Amino acid sequence: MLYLAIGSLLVALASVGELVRRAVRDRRRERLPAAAATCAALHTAALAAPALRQGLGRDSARRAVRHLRSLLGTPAAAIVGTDGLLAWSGSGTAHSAAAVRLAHPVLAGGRPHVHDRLDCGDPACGLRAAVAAPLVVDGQTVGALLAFAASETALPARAASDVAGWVSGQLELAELDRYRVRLADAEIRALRLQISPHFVYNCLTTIASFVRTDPERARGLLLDFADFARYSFRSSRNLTTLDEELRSIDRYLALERARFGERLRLTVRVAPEVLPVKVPFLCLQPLVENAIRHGIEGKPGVGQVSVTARDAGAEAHISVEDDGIGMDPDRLRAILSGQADGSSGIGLANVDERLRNMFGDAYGLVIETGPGAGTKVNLRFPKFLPKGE
Amino acid sequence: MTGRPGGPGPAEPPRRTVVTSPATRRALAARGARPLPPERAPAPPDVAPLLRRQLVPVGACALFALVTAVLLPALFTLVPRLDDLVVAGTPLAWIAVTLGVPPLMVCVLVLHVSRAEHLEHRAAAPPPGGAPARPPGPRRRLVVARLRPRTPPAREGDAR
Amino acid sequence: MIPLVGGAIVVTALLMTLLAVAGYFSRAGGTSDFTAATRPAPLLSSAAAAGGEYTSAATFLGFAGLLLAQGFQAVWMFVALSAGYVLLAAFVAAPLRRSGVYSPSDFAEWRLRNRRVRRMVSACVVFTGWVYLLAQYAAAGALVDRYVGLPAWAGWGGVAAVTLVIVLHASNGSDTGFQAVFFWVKLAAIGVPAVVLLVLWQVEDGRMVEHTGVPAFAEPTTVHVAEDQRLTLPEETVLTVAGRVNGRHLDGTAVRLAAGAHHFAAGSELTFREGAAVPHADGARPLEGEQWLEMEVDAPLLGAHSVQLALVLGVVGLPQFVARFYGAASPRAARRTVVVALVLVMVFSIFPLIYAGLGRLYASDLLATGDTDIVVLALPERVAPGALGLALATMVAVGAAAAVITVSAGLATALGGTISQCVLGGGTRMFRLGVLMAIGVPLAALLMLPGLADVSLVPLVLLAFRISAVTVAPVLLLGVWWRRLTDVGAAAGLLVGMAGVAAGVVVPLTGLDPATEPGRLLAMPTLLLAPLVFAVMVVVSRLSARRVPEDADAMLGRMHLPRRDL
Repeated sequence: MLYLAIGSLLVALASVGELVRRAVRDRRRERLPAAAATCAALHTAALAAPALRQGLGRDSARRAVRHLRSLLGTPAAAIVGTDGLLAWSGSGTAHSAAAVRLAHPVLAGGRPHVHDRLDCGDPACGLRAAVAAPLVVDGQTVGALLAFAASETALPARAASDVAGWVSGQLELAELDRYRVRLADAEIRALRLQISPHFVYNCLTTIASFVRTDPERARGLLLDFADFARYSFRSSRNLTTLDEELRSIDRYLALERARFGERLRLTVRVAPEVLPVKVPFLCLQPLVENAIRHGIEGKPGVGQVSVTARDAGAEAHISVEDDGIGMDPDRLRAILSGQADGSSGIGLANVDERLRNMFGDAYGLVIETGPGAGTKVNLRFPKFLPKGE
Repeated sequence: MTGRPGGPGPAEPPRRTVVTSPATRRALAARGARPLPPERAPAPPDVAPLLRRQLVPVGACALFALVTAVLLPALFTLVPRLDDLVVAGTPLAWIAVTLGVPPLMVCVLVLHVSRAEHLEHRAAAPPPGGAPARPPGPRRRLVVARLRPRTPPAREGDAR
Repeated sequence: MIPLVGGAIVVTALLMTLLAVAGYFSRAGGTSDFTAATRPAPLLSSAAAAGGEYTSAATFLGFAGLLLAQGFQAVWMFVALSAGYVLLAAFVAAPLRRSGVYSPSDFAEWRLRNRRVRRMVSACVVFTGWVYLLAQYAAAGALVDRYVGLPAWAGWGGVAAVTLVIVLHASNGSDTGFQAVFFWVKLAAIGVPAVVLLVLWQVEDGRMVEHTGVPAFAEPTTVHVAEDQRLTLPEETVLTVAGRVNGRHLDGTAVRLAAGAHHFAAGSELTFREGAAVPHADGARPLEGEQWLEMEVDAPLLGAHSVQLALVLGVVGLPQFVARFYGAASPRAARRTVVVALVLVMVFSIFPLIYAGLGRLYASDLLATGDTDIVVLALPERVAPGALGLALATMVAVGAAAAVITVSAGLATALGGTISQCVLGGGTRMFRLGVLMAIGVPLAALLMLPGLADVSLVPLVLLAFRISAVTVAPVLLLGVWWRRLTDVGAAAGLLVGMAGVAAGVVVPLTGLDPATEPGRLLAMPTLLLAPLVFAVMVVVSRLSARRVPEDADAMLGRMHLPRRDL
């Protein structure tokens, strides 16, 4: 027990030491006055940035306006959108109703505008002048930033339009974020369309071959095909569970097995703990399809394909492996970095990109392959996403 | 685990190389990578009524747990006469703790769980999309299994 | 003890380990049937796994020992643990499963949108786990020390190595099956000998614990005093002492010592006559039969209730459980898993009662050395000398070894995940490094701090529960049920909780008497500390109401409303 206590005491001492060290370091940094002012301004701006990156809304404006006011150094500041006041910060809230009126010329004209002789009727309220600067996204005025002061001379007109320019930049970035998400969505749709033609043709031919000889089986296969198609045309979500994804692969494989028969040998190994893991919609099917193409087509005899899902602490590790003809590493590298021409391997590149989009670059595909050495595609999924859907 | 699949065939002299996209390679080299947050969930449902309705059962359950765990021993300590009560040759306290408390706990828990599930389902009952709540459990899978005649497993067994 | 027994146990333990590892791989063997491969773990099996991760050496060995030393009133601790399961199932199981978090740290980050709070929660989780692991190592050391005659560090090293092998290979497969199988192994290993011993006891004489009188030696017994110790004699006793008693050197002469505490120097040999009262080591209070049977709590009530509360809340915050919910097939399944696990654990804990009762009759001399933790191991040979006793003892020892190893494995996996996520960043290599740290740090602590190994099992486990009760549990409970919890509030509460735990560990050592006012204030019992932590979280959250995450409603909805799809 004594040692436990000493241990915790040491940890406590270390943390106190670290705090002191940081404080001293911060103090030292603030010695240069000009640098300190820049630093303070940048720091305040950084505080406002995350809210602005959400786009211009009542909530984000409310969180950002405080910091913008301290950036401008005025007693009051406001953000106005095209459909009314979004947020007010500082004294003289009686003016907030007038803010929309003040912003009107800016919203219409897109130019900064200075008003003096404000009067709210309250003698205690010292706000007599205001400047309104436009917030512009993509050449369109989406709102205005207002700064209030006691007199026109005290008004930071230049600073207000600079800050408004910076806010516009952040809002444009927010717009960009939204485009990025939309792009990822579009990509998923694009991938979904790619599945069909080749595979649909093969499937239907295979099923047709069973219609006479084994109608019962043909019926089962058609149902599989219908199930698989329904799953892959489902459009609402980007994420699904590993469980669902594996079940859709089951249907897909039933069709492939019907086509290849004995030549396709399959091993599945799944730890039940990872079944609820969220994975991008249709991220495994292209890999399995790829494994079958490389494992069986272009090679005589039996091909082995194995799908493994393992539990690894905070992550799930999944691999799809075949013992087929393998791929040329250089060509694969070109495919993954988007420099390859032709359409082969586009499924791999697409899955890789979607994974990286969704989870970060470190979660891209890791592929082990060589000519004649088979291919093993490794995927990692975090079990938990901080802002998961 | 870089094991080969145990398929037949000649030993493969060519070796595999590890390939990733350039971004992944950089990210893996700079370790400490964390997953990116994906986009936010839409449409916050109103959960307050459910929480309010659950307040009573949940509070009762918590009270029960705390009472059995903390107040019951106090009762036996502060009222020593309880300890002297003997029923059929066994001290009452023993009967209470070994035969009484555990089944009671399980009962309370089972009741609470079923009630909470009922409340939750009722709260989620009016589906905005129209489709009724799919009952949990493997029902769907059973249907699939029945419809699809599988490739006979014996054949795969032979092939191995 | 008997080298034969030691040998047998070593061989069996090794065999078992091999079987376990082999079973692991064969279970992970592939199939070509997707429907079979993607079947979620059955309810009974995941419940057994949850139970298996909880039935550690402390439950297997320590609980019976505690009952033997403190009397039947210790049963209340078990009642508190069960109540903890009730809270777990009622409050957190389903919401946590719906939220999709993998660990308490994930929960903190997701619910409060703050990486710093996440780190704090991770620190608490890791510290809890380390203390819990320490208890497992200590148990392994005691086992090896007693049965094989090897030094305790061999046991620690052995457990560390076996755990490492199991966990790193577990990353190739699944952990549920493994834990579930070993829960049944443990249940059989403690249950079958208990039933056999009960039958033997009935056949032999079926005598009951006498209501009057303290434990007495059934035959002339020599007690070896390993280190300077105070033994309490329940009554005036005549004994032969070779060594120093109360500062007086004696050379194997008989002395009459009054009832009460006496000092014996290390290396003394005490020989008691048949029928002499058993002295009590480690400050244990001699209990008359009637007192032993009583349910009356004789520790100061505040302290006893603190233990109860720490156990109730501690169960809620244990990291293994949260991870278990993640793997459950559905929120319903998560709840039901806890309910079934509660039933299983209840069945399991009937057996320590049997061992404690028989221990009072047959093995009360263990009180003289304070080795009450091994009553489960010692009992079979006392009741049934010969081959049967040996077989039963081996069975129990295998069970104890399994308890140590499986719980260590479960903890190491949970901690490895937490450490790798929080400190190192994800990835396979980092997970392995995390596991290595999870296993290695307590081992290093044991090796470097020699006094640590002497702490008995139950206080260590209680400390782990206490940490979890005043840090992780409030965050989980409030986070799941209270919309207005903020990151600042949670952080303040966590700090208070951690400070309280640290003070509780430090104060008794600084010489500050916990009975006096400042000492009592600092070494705050859980009964005050836990409400204080809750209160701090609530008050500070209300004060920082601006920081409530804007999508708190959405998060609560996600946790409490069943979802139609996904």
